[in-house]
Amino acid sequence: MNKALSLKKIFKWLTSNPKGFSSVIGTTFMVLVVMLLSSSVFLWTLSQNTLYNEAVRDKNQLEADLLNERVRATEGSYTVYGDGNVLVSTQVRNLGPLAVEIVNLWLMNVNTERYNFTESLNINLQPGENSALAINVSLVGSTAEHTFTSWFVTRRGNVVPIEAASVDEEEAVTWAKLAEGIGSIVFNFSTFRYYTYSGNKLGNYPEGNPTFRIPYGETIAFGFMLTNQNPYQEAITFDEETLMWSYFPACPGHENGPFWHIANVNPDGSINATYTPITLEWGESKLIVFAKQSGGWKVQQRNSLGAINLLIYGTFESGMEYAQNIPFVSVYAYD
Amino acid sequence: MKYRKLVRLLQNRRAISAVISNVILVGAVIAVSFVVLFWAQYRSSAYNQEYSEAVDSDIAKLKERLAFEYIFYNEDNDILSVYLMNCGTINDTTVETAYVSTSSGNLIDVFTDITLFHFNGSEISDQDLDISEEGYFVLSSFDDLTVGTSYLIKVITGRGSSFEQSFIA
Repeated sequence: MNKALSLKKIFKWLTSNPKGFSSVIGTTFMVLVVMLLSSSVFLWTLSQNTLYNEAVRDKNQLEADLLNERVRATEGSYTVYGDGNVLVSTQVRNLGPLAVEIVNLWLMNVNTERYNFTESLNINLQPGENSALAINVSLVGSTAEHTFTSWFVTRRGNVVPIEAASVDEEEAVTWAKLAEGIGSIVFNFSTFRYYTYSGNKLGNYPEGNPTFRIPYGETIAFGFMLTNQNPYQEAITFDEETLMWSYFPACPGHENGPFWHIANVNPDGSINATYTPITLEWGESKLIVFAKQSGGWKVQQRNSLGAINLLIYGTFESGMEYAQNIPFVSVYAYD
Repeated sequence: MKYRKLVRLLQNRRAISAVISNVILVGAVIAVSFVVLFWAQYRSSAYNQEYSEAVDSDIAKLKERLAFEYIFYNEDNDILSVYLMNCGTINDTTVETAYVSTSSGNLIDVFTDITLFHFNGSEISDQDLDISEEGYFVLSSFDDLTVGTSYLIKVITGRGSSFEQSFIA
């Protein structure tokens, strides 16, 4: 009761004393202004720290993505065409959890110490995706006898070396045993593709159309990777008689389809008029194209499934003859 | 009645001097307060600007990233070509300095006058690498490197980021 009374007295004295009242108001305003200023500075500093933390988080994410990127390029092989055009063929697999964009391919000739690259590849690989690539790089002064090394660069800045097609010792023994029984040339199913062409030029070479469903027509060519697994580790040269032929069992009386001859293809996709023998070194994988459709029935049977056989004829580097029939794939010719 | 009071106030010198002194005092206090307020505001905005610049600079540095695509040493003319790609998330990344050292870290040479070229050989007009842009620079006129030996190259950007890569000459 006394306390309330004294407060009332203080208030009365304060309100009746203009000087005392104004100093209270002044102090209150000052405190408010100081609090406002300091809190705004504090909040602004906090927002700057948030920006910085976000940048750090983005950077960490970038680093994590970079470390998580796992691409493997295997079965690398190099085919030299004409004056220093090198076709780099490889199997690329995205083993990581992130999509990967390949932006560049670098190629170096170990013998001449020259190098070149292809810009703006823009190859996108989803997680787990496997892709057979064949990319041309111009490298003046290169010949088939030269040794090459190559690597991809991804958009995130990782470098992916292309591992050369090689067979380890244990695998080589297995392959050798197998090759002795069924033949030295091995076909890679996943690299099968067809091309359409006008005149003598293949469209979209060397990528082509990777499918077993082909359009009915007379201007179709095929390409796929062949690997030499000869048990005696000899190179094999394909003779011009080497061809692939088709057989369409669902069309009685018209079973024999056309056949395609082995061909030399220039980097721009044009087919040479005359064939220069292609040699496959031991362990080497190469994109081989079969074009110049002819013989039998000129075109494939419409809307039918055909068996494709590969008839190889050539010589080992020792001079011995080599021949092999690979009943390797079936295609559906749609109209 | 009011008129009389005013006349009495004017006739009372002491009262007038108290009012005038109060007015002067209040005026001086207000003036000083404004000066202090403006000074505080100026200091505060200067601090804000400095801090903001420091944070922006740090953020820009964090966003920078250069990838070494290829480093090639030509032993015939002692030229080192360094191929880069800006794989960061910020444009205008410049290369200010390059250090070449042995794999153990002993400095061989420092280069500050660096010209960036496009991969096709033409000079990059703005002398920086934007996001995903590729370019290279050439380092020449330095001591011979031993072919087959491992070395280190460190590139310092204009924002102060450092990127290091080993290579075999």
